[in-house]
Amino acid sequence: MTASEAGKTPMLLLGAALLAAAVLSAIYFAAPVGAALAGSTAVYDAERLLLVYSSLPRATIALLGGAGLALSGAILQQVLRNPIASPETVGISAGARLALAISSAFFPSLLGFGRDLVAFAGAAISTGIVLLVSRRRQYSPLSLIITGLLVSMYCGALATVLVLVKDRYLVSLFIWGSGSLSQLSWQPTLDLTLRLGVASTVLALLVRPLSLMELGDDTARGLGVPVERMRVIAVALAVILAASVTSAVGMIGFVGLAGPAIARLSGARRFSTRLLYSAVFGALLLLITDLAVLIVAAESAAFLPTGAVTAILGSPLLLLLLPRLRGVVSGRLPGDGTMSTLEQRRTSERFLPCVVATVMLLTGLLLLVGRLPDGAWSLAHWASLEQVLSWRVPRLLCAAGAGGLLAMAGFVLQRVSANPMASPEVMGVSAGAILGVAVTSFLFPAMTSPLGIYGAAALGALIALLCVMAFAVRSSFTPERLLLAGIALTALVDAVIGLLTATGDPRAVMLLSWLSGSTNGASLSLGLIAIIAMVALSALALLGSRWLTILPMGVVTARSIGVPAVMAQSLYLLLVALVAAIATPIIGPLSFIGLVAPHFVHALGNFTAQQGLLLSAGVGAVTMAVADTLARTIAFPLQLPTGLMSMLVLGPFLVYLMARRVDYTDVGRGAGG
Amino acid sequence: MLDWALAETLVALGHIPAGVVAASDWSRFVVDPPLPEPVADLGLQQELNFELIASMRPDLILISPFLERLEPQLKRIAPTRNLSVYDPGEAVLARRIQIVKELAALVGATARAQTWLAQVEAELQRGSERLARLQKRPVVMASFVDNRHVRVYGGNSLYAEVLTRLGLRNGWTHEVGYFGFSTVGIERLARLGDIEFIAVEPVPVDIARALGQSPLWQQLPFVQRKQHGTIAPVFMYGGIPSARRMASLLTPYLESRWT
Amino acid sequence: MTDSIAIQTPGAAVITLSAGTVRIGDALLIDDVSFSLPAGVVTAVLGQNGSGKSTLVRVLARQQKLSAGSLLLRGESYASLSTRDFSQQVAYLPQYTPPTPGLTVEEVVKLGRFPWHGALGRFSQRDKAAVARAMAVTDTEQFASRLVDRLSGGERQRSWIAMLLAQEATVMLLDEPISALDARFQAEIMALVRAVAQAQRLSVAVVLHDVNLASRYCHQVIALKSGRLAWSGAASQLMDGDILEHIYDVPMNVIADPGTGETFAVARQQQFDIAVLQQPSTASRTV
Repeated sequence: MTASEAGKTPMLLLGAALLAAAVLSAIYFAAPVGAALAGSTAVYDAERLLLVYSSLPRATIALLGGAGLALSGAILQQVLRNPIASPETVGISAGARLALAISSAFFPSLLGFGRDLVAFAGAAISTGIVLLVSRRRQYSPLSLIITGLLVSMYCGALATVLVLVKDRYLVSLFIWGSGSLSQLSWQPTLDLTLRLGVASTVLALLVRPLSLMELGDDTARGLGVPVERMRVIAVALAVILAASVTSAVGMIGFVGLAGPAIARLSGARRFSTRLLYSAVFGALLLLITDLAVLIVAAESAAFLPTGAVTAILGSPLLLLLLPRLRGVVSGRLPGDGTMSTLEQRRTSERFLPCVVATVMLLTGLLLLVGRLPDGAWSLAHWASLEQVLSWRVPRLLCAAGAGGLLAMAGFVLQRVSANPMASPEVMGVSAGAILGVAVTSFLFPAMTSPLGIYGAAALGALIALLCVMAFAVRSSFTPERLLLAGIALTALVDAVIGLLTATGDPRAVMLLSWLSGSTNGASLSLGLIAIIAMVALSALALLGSRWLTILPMGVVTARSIGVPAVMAQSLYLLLVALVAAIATPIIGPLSFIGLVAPHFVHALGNFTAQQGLLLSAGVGAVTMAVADTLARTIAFPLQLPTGLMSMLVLGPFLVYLMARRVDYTDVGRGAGG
Repeated sequence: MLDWALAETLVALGHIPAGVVAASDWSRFVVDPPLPEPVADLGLQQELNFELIASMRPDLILISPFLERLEPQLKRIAPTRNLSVYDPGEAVLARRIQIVKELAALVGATARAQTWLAQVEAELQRGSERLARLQKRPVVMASFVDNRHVRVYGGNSLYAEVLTRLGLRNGWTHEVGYFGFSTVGIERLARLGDIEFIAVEPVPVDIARALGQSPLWQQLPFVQRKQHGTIAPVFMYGGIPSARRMASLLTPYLESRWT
Repeated sequence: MTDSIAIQTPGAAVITLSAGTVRIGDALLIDDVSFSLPAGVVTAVLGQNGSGKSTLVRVLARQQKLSAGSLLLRGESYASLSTRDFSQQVAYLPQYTPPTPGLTVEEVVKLGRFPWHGALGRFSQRDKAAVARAMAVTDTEQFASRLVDRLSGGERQRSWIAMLLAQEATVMLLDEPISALDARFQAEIMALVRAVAQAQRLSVAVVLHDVNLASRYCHQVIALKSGRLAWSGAASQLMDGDILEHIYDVPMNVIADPGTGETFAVARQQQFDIAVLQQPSTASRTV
């Protein structure tokens, strides 16, 4: 690397980081080192012991871990040509976490065999899925990040089910999930050094071909780089790097993103320079954070895991970085021809009555399905009907209403943001609602009234939406930005909840059940409210169906034919916030229904915006009703939360959908001069 | 019939509940008193199977404040009592003795409860007398969370109170969280002096290897002097039966070590 | 050179830009440009890549704000017009037309009526008539019920122009409407635009790359260079070697078709130094 390339900025940044690390180290290490040097006559010297076997290895592993994650991020960003790729955003961390959860719950002996191997296997599988799905779209940045996010959410949901069903075994996962750097010996540090050493050596050999991949696949191939093979090797390397760190110290959020970002910021243009700087900055970043955590939390009772802190710091950073994500996909909406073979519009005079009747018939049938105390399946008969229905009707109404609401909101969001992957779940609005509840339940543990909880949820959803909107206005509503702002917010919520739950407080379990969307114990009035809200808000949304037809074509076109685009978008976003505030407390933020239902409707045929909206709501309602029935019966006598059930059912469908939609590519905007 | 602490107290009083939440996990965490066979599993604590409960036509439903939000639904099935097992402002054992009395009144076993409480009282007393004769050290009760972290109990936790009741000193004097414990890195144990370290099972599978590799752990005073070990599971949020179980496990354990 | 030149059928100025300037950050995209678009006239906007053509049209379409200068639509300031008023008068076709998820040609054309009926108003007889007329003029009726995204490039572009016509605006702004089309469709679309502009007395501004098409189908030309007005005048005067070299910074040959007398411009061949092009390795091998 030449002097001119390095310039002054990196030196300044580097200097600042080093200085911060030095000052913090001085504060933290001065006393124990002094004591150790002074020598002690006591046989047992606790301070010396702590310094040598805990504090020093801890600082070392912080440096190593930070470097490893940042390297992993830098490699991913290079081979995927995506400035926000990182171990968290492509699903490495979530896969490792789920694998550990599964083995803790079902095969504890595997953990004794090797935590690393389990974590690595999980990470490799989840990353593999993400890459396979986005390969069809030439790893287009947006598609990759969204797939990564979805796979991460899915892994998270599965882990949540495990915690719910077997919660007492898995307290450790909370801690692991929020990344603590506590050390007891040099052994993990040595192990990690070895692994990172081997990986870095391989990496050093690959620097040249990897540098060429910056030019794009075709050019790199033209210059003789075996692009596909190189990408697989590089990603495998990134997975090994990240999974080694993760299995050693748990999930350390966003160092893998921040390290390379700072390296780029400081003007490291060449890949080799960037790798070096990423590693250095990642290492310093984690060390600084960890020392700060140690100094702040010195003797307090609260357990403050470093990983959760970096994750919380990391989300705003992700937001800051978004504007750098250039040339991303403008996805195409469901209904853009290639998938549907139906040219002809389906029309019917009795469209609305047909949808309503079908929905009511299907949900009505579901009410009858149940299981007897001995576990046998049964269709309710007249004798027991009254008693059974009094339990089933309210929860079914809640599920159907909330499902219809979210599906309708998903349809609206996808059209308003012209983005086929938008939905209240993905955009962080639902996460905001949950965050509101989480914060409230920890600030005011006494408050358990449903009204208070709903208030908190609504407030949270609104704040989240305002944040996303403020960001969106700044980036003039570019759909990708909007979506990613939501992702960042979701990550923030995860981090905060991770931090709150890391203490092992039993309230964490309550929060988890909230997160997983339980319709159990819903009251009839809540069910009615959900249904009425669904009907009323859908009607409201229909008022602007012309806007909904035009907005997917983008702001420029909309504006040029006289649609007040920003106002229309704002109004619809408000509607979505309202929906999220009503529906999220009922079925949680993870149902996926808002994302999937509009795509499902598209698979049914080609519909107008009006019909699509109604059908989405209908499909959402029926799907959630099915999920509710499954949740009630499938693991009898255990009941599962409806929201989670729906996610488990819809998740694979969604991945299938994404894998199949080849038309969703970078060239969506047409050729042009 | 829904909360474990309440259920174990009922069982101890000779009254078998019709159903308990998460009954399948009982044997791993509560262990004793064993849950009699005909007790139905009512589902997860957070996802009660209302239909099932209703079909069982119970006479009375007992819940803890954690399920308070479900009270209106449960009341539709049967009279529901919300009994608080834990209150950070009130001593744990006193609260739970109170629970025993309230439960006894509800199931009409007041007399039996009195003799049983007296019996437990006597056992604890005997335990403390037996331990009093020995060379005593402060005791730290802990559970390993993973191979680097440990939960230590102090303040107003069941474990800590039983220690006190047995005339022992709790070796963990730092601040603890709302429920009477705090989660710390294992290295934080280094500053503990001459203590007896007792971990409650279950412990993670890979803990032995991790500790074996740690010079820090090996050099801890209580490890050097072999003042550490584990006892069988005791339900940490449990009631008087769990307290009694803990005393009955702890006393012989310490006797065998302290002679 | 910047004097405006009389045109055969001069209409009143519909859009007037005076001393328009667009500055984004440090970059001066449009620098002190003035001109007007009269009714019934097709104006070509020419210039090299990055000269500010698209920005200028975006300014006229109110998609981009001026940093300085004034812009009037029939004497009224742009800023004073509501979104709806403005789009009743000005129609704009962006360089890249957006995907039209699941919409048929007829439905897209109908969207052009939005400025007239709004979000909630009825789709009236007048709206219907305007759509029918627009589709008849552009000859798009034959594929009225097909999905726009399934059409060929020329058909799709015609559908979009039908939408603009249905808008019944008096100003049409087209940003490179023919760049992605074959020669046949290019001529077809340009002829359509010219015919409609004359018949309905529209003022049209169209960004083009091809000087020959500009001279053949447009009445008036505005040429930009680095954001400044490089030349403006009647299209008939464009075909001049000096003017073209001034605009494009490359020597151009202007040739007349001996049959029709129509003129064509072609960039002169570039000369390269053979010695520089020779590969040193090849040279040494021949020794």
